[in-house]
Amino acid sequence: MLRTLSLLCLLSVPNLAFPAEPEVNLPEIARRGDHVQVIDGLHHGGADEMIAEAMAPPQSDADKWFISVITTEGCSACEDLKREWKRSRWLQNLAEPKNPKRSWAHFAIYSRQDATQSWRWDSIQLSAYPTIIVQPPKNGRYGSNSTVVYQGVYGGDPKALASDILVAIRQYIRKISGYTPKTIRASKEGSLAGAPPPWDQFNYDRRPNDGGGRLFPLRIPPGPYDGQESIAESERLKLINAPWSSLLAILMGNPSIGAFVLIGVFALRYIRQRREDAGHTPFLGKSSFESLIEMIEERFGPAEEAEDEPETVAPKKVVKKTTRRKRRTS
Amino acid sequence: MRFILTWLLIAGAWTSPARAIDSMDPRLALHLPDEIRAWYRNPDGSCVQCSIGMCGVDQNIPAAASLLWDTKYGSKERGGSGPSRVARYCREREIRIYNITGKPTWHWMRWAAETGRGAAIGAGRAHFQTLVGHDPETGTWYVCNNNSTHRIDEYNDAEFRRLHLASGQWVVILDYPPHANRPCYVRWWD
Repeated sequence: MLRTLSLLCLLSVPNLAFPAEPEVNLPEIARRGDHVQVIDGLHHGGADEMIAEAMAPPQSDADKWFISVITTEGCSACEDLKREWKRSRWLQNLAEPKNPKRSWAHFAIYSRQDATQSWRWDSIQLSAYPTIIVQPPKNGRYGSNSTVVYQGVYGGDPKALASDILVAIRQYIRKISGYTPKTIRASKEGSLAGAPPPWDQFNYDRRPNDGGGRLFPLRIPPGPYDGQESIAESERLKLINAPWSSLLAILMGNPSIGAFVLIGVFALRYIRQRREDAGHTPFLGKSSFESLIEMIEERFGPAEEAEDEPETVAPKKVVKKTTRRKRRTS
Repeated sequence: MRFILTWLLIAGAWTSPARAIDSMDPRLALHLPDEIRAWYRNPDGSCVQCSIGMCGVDQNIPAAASLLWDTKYGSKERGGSGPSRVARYCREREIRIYNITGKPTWHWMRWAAETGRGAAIGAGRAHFQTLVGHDPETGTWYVCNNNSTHRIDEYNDAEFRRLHLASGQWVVILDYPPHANRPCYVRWWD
């Protein structure tokens, strides 16, 4: 009886009984990145609006971007990427291989050796694997679906890959945002309806991959990405920056609480960074974590040596010399 | 003169309504080169599997693409089929499909074409073909017949309606993402 009543109570609270949709769309927030959208009743349009629209949950299949992963046999990095894409939240913000309907992008894995699919790559160059290619949606809102917006090779860091893809998409949208078509459908002649295209869409270089001279850069877009949007390598913790001197002091039999604290704080930061790279949700939010570290360092950290104060020289006492003249009498 | 004109008229009637369209035309939802479509030429009354197989190659679903042959995905499926047989071998091969019959087929065919997917459709008397595209602006339907895989046939609304009704309204669509168009380089970053 009690169990039945408990169950009924649980069922009467919808959020407890039936997990609802997430209250906050975290993947969309992650996709938008650093983005300010102004909504004030005035039409703004332009790149920022197009980027916000692109990063939103797609309304239909026609609004989904395409992410293709081209693998090859005997490639451990390919297997690594397939695994990471199923568990890294950074990559799942872009595509969910296990849930295509909920996925932001269409996702497909191809094998270079698959004879039924090899004709797809006739117009591009593939030299390393796994290669990831990103193409715009079929709705025509962002240009031709054939355009390669991003091409890169997985380097082992899922967060970096996701970041690179999003940066490329934003750069691409900024480039094409000067043209905001109302109805986009590629006409028979190839030009977008209603306005001249902002680029020479059909001057493709369709020379076959001769394996020799590189017609296009291996990474698209080429060059370093915008430093403000990419992961700042200089801010990342590296083992070489660990407090080795403190560790050495402990090992030499000269332990101190300060040394332990320094090592402990570094370890906490490093572990957090590794967990974030792997796509795991941290236990504490960033501000809470920093507050905790600050508290630990203040209470238990090594006392800061007082800086040598500059020597203050007492001002010399100025003694006015008075000279007494001898009185001379005649 | 009359003789020549008569023969020209007969020849014209014989060839219509099929007209040629390039297999990579952007109006199409399914894009396969001629030589790939040729693999699915119907040898023995396996039109349903030929049509589904064509969609399988287009959407990169090997279990569906290999229906006509003995592969690691299962034994070959040859001969005529109905909705229940298709349901059976799709379950066995773990192929996700929409298996539609009756009036909803029209809406589903439009949806498939709109979202860049091909569809295996009843087309012609007791025959299955592959819907490769639909242009709602012109009302043109593009169909590839597995008895003539070298070309893609075009039909207007009325012709297509007759075609689909002739076979019984049945459509099979693979429940997988559509393919991306063949990627090409454009120097958009310049």
